[in-house]
Amino acid sequence: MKNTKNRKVIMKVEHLSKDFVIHSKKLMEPKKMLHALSDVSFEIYEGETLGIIGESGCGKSTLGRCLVQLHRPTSGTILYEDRDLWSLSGTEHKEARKNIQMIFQDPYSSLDPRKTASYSIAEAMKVHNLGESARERHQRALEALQEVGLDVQHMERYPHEFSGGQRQRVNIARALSISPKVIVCDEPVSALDVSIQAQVINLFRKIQQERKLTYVFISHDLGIIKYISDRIIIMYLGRIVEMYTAEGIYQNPLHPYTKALLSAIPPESPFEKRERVTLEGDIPSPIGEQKGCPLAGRCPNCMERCRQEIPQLKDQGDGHLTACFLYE
Amino acid sequence: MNGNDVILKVEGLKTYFYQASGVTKAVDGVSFTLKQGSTMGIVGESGSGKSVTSSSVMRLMPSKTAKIVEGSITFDGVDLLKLSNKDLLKFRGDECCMIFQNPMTSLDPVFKIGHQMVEMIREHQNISKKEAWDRAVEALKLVGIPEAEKRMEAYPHELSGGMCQRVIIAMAVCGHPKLIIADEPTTALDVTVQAQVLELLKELQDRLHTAILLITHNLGVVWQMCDTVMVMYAGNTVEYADTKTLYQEPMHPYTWGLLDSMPKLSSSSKEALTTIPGTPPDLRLTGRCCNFYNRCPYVKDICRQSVPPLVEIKPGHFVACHRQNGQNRLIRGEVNAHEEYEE
Amino acid sequence: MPERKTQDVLGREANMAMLRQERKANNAWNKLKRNRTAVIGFFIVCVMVLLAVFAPVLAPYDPNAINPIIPYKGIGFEGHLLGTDDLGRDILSRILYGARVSLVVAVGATIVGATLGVLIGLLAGYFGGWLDVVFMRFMDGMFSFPFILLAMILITVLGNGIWNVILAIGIANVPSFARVTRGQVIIVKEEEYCNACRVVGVSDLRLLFAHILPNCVSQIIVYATLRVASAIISEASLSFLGLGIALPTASWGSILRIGRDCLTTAPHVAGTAGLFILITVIGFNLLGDGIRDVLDPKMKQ
Repeated sequence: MKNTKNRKVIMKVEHLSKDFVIHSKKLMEPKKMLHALSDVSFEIYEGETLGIIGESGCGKSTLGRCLVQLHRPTSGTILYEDRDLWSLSGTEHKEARKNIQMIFQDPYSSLDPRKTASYSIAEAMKVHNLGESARERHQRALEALQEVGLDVQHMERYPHEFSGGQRQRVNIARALSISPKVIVCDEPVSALDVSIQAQVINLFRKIQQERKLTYVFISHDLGIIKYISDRIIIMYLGRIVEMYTAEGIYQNPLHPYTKALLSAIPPESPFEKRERVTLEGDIPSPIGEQKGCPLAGRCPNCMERCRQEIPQLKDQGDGHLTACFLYE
Repeated sequence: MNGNDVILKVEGLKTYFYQASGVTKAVDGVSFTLKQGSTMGIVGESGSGKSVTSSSVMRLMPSKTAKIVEGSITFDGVDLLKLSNKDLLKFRGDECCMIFQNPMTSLDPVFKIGHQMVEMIREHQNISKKEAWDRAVEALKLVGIPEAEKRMEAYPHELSGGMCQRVIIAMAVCGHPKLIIADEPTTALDVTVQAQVLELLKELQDRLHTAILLITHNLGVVWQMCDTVMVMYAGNTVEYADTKTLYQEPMHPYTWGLLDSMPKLSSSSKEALTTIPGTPPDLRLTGRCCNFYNRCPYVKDICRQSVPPLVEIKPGHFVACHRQNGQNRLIRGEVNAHEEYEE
Repeated sequence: MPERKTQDVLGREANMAMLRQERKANNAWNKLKRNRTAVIGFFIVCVMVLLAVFAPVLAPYDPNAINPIIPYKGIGFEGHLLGTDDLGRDILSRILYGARVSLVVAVGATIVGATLGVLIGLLAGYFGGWLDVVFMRFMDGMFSFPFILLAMILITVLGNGIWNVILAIGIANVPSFARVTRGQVIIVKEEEYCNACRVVGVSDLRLLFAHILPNCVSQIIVYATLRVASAIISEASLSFLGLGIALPTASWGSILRIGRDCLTTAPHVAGTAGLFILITVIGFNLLGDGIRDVLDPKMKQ
């Protein structure tokens, strides 16, 4: 794999935690905490695609929303070009915000139903004072739409007049119109049909090559993540359990959860027979205090130590990080 | 029991929706047969008519707008389209069951699991409450729910998605149906839970010898579960074959596109994915020619002129493509530029 | 290649034509025309507005001209189509002029109530926290205060001109508008497109007024239409109690009030005015229901 040491770090997440308070229905009962993210640290290099995989409730969406500042972290910092996002002043903050954009999962709800495509795109430019006049912004909105494969006939359409794939293109055009450096893609294709998925993924790659963008690509679809990512983070119950290059993780998964996840993928042909690493039961609830490894209850290799301590991410050589006592 | 008995036969099914804005041809010519104890997959994109096909079989359609215009559905020798409402109710519970995509919404949130299961069982079998209760517990144990007695007292929101889907499967198998229709049963579930549920379905099928009609958009699930598979596009059957044949020798250009557009885990290629250009047609405008013509790289004059019939090219392998039933068959991936724009 | 191109262009034109057709079919106005309830309501409201606007032309007599010789004459008396009241004034003329007052007061009060209520609802719903608590508790306080009492106090303090009546009924309307708007805002602000706007960098105020408000507006319009109907009744009740527009200016409520004293001897006085109130209120209610069906298809099912 490419030597990551010489590459520039564009974003850095340090010991990020995010808790949500669950308001109890019963009177006088103490508040409960939902630990969506616990002690997450990683770096994002300029120009790479960082894939984040996990099942529902693993905190991957919360992580994405923290990166674009929709959620304020409970503790920990997020650095963009070595500066803490939450301690920036007004104009710097706005500039940083402009540079980190997001594409949402559901193309049907992420556009204002009462605004045309051109309005949505031009508005993004307007709030960042891009473009001299409304006319110029309109022209640049058209260019952005053309870049994502739509044309002039789509300018004055309302969201419900687009198909799912086209809406996601409009979302991408809006993000691109303000020239961000990093785009966080939160399951951007999982609501789309297979043939449309491929179109949108190709579009993502094309734009990345042309504009030298950095992607954080969140998905539960392992095939897509592997295809598009350079490095992959695997998350489970709010923690990173494994992090390595995309190729490396598929060839040599270390963490028991990664192994189970990979073996649970439906086969690629009717002839393929895969040996299964099965996990018992369901993902435990992220509510309340955690003790021990989050996977302890389901792991086939669970040891006594796993129930007592939380394993930390450790380098297993060549930058292959995993959080499991089996490798200590 | 003879394993080759045909349990469900659908021929030339056409289901249209009559709306103010026009007639939507949701299903416009679908034919297949399903053998006892086997699993058939229906794959297609959203709007391809796969769900409408299954609800047509169950006759679960809004009676005001939807109408089965043509075709026949025969289940175990009985013409389903001629059944009275009373017989239909019996058919739905006893002979055939349905599992839906979202397990959370297919259970009634205000009643306990046990109550719902007992109601359901007593609806179709004339037994006492106590017996029905025991049977429900048994069914829950069968689908691998731990502490089944305790779960009977739980409300649906207290269970996880995977557990709910198991409960629904348990309800489905209570009456020992001959056919289970599963409409995207694992789409709402996580990968590891999906694997568990699919395995459970397979295990139950082996034990109870039911036929399964599995509707999905995930080809991986098809490879794992199905004996035969039907590919649908814009309301039509475009290809129908047994799973291995379909994987090895797919014939329809749409099937090719579908197979190629999925990123492969095993390959480390970073080449651009093969895509099917364009979007599916509006279902109000289909039915005059091949519905795939505007996205097909192999399109010819004839494709714009008439609807391709579903032809049995090899035994058990049906394809609906004008360019595949003559002498000069197409070769996958070879688009002749000269041919392409020939008018 | 050229054939292919023309086909694409043709496809695009067909596309645009279909889009236009669909837009036309889904246009709120066109849908309203197809909705029978709405059309009947709209017709009634239009007739009432026209009667009010053209009252000077249509009214056979001066509404305030007293003619003591012919008090309490019945329907059809010597050119007085709907009879006369205690002072011999022509009831038809008074009703026509009264329609002006009643409609202006009702619409005006609704506008006052909607403007203030929507503003409060938007701020309380969007910002939440203590702002929400303070505003909404205050609204609750107003809710629990009997409307008539509130209006009485306001009118006693301000005096009973038409603007004061509008203000009084309007203020009494504020809490319900605030409540409806707040509920909508709380739903809409959690929508993904609001998050998308925040990520793009749209400020709170812009988000609130350019995105959230337009997405709440249809509910507010429906509610406002229904509120007009109840404002007509409110005005009538105030006038009936003598708190409304000062006599001799005619309003439907004041005609009712005169009719009360002679309900047994001359029932047509109260009857005709009551009938007009009834029809107008029904008209606004039908229109409101129709608009709701059109703007919110989910409610219909």
